[in-house]
Amino acid sequence: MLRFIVHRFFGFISIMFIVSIVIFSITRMIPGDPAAVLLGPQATLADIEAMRERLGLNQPYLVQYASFLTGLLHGDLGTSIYYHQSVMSLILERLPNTIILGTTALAIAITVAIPMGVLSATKQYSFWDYGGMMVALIGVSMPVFWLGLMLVLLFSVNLGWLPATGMGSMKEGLWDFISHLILPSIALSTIPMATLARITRSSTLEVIRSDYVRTARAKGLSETVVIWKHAFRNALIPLLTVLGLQISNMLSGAVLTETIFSWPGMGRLIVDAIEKRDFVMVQGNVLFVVTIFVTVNLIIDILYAVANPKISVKSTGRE
Amino acid sequence: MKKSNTVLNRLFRNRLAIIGMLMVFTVFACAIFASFIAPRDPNLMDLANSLLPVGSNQHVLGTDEFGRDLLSRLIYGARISLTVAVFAVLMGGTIGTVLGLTAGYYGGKIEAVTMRIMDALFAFPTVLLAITLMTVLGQGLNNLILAISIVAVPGFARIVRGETLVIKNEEYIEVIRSLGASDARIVFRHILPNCVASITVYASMCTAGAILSEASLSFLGLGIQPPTATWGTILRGGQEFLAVSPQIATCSGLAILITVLGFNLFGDGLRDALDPKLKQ
Repeated sequence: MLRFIVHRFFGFISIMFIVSIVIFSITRMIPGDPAAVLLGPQATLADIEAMRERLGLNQPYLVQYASFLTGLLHGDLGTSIYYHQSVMSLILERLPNTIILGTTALAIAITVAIPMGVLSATKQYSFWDYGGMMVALIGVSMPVFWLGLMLVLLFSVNLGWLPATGMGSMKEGLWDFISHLILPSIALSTIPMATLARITRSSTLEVIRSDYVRTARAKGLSETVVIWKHAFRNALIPLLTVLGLQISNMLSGAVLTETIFSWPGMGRLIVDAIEKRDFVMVQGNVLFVVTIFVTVNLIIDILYAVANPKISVKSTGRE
Repeated sequence: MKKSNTVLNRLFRNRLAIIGMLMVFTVFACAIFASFIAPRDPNLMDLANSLLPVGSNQHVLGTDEFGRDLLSRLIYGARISLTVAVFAVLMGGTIGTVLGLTAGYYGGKIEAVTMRIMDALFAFPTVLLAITLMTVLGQGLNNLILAISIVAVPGFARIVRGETLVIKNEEYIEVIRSLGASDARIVFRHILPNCVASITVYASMCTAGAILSEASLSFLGLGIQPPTATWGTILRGGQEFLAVSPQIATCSGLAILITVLGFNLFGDGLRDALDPKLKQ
C-alpha cells in the first residue's frame, strides 16, 4: 500500500510539474507586453522598462520559469494586474463561497443520483429505468448556463419565489442565505447528478448479477437488505472515481453558474479577470483549480486502493 | 463486412440511436441549407420591430433587440456551432490519434513523456483550459477551433493508446512484422483501422462536448463575436431580455440541448452496437 501511495504521489508531482510548464508557457504566449498592460496606456517607455526589470521579464525564459516555480512552492501566484493585490489572497477570499456552492450542489447530486441509479438498475427495462436514464441523458446534454437562466425565468421572473442573483447573508437570516443558494446549486448539480445516476445504474447492474447477491437472496433476505446492504456497498466503489472526475465538471460549471447568478466565488473571479485582461489572475486561478482537482483525485485514488487492495497491487506491477 | 453489417443492424434496431441520428441529421441539414431554409437574413436589423414575441407576423419565433429574426439566427447559428465542433474534433482527433498510436506502439520513454503530458492536459477542467487558451489566442473562429481541439487531444490519445497496446501484441501483427512490414505500415494499415470503432464512438461524444464548449465560450464573450449568429452569442444576448423576451434564451438553449442530446444518443447507440455487453 505504501508503495502504491509513493507511486501515486510521484505521478502527482510530475503532473503538477508539467501543468506548471503548460500554464507558464501559455501566459508567455499572450500578445503584448505584460509590463505595458500592467502600467496602462499612460506609461512612458522608461516606466515600462523599469517594470519589465522589476517583474524579471528581461531575464531568459528558464530563469523566469525557475522564479515562477519558486514562487509557486511558496504559495505565491503573483500579483493581480487589475486589483494590485496578491492573487492567492483574492482566491482565498472567494474560495469559501465556491466551496459552499460546490458542496451543496454535490450533496443534491448524490442525494438524487444514487436512488435514481439504483431504482433504474433494480427495475431494468421498466418505465423507471427508461425514464430515469432519459432524464440523466438530458441532464448531461444540457448547457449549465441555459438551465441557470431557465430556473431564473421560472422561479424568479415568473413566480417570484427565489432571488435571481447574488449571495445571501446569514446576518439577514437563514432563509436569505438558503434562498440565494437554491437556484445556483440546482443548476450546478445537474451534470454531476446525471453522470452519477448513469454510473450508479451500471455498477449496480453489475453487482446484482453476482453470485454473492444471488446467495443473499437465496438465504431469504428481503430485497431492500440485499440491494442496499449487500449490492450497493460494492457498487459504490466505482462511484468514488467518477466522483473525483465530477469535481472537475463542478469547477468548470462554477465558472458559468457563478456568472449567471452573480455568485461571488472563484468562477466569477476568473470571468472578471478575463474581462479585465488580468492574465496573472487567470493564470493563478487556473493553476489553483487544477491543483485542487489533481489533489482530490490523488486522495480518491488512495481511498479506492484502501477500499479495494487489488488496485494497488495491479497499479505498482506487483502481481 | 459481415461484422460491420451486424454492427449496423444492431445500431438501426436501437430506437434511441435512430432518434439521435435524426436529430443530428436535421441540425446538419439546417446548417448546410441555412440560406434556403432561413426565412430572412440573420443579420438584417429592423429596430421598429425589436423584441417581437413568438408567433408574430412574419417572425415565427419573434425578434431580438435589434429586430433580427430569431428563427433565421438560430438556423444560421447551427452552421457556426457545427463548423467549430466538427473541425475541432477532426483536428484534436487527428493529433490525439497520432500521439496515441505513437505512444502505444513504441512504448518506453516516448510513451511515458507523451502520456504524462496528456495526463497534465486532462487535469485541466475542460472549460477552464479552453478559457485560458482563448484568453491567450484572442477571439475568432480559427482560435476557437484551435482551443477546443487542444482540449480534445488528450481524450483521443488515451483511447487510441489503450487500443494500440492491445492490438500490437496480437499474433497477426507479429506475423506482419516478421514479413518485413515497416512500423508506419503496421501502425497505419493494421492497427489504426482496428481503432476506428472506438475513435468514432469517442468522436461523437466529443462533438457533443465541443458544441457545449463553443456555446460556453461564446456565452462568456470569448468565442465568436456579434453580430455573427451562434447559439452561445444568441443566448448571451437573450440573458439581458429574459423578462421581456424569454424565447431568445429559451430557443437558443433548446437548439444546443437538442443537438448535444442527438450526438449523445447516437454515440451511446454506436457504443452499444459495437460492444453489446456494455449495454447491460
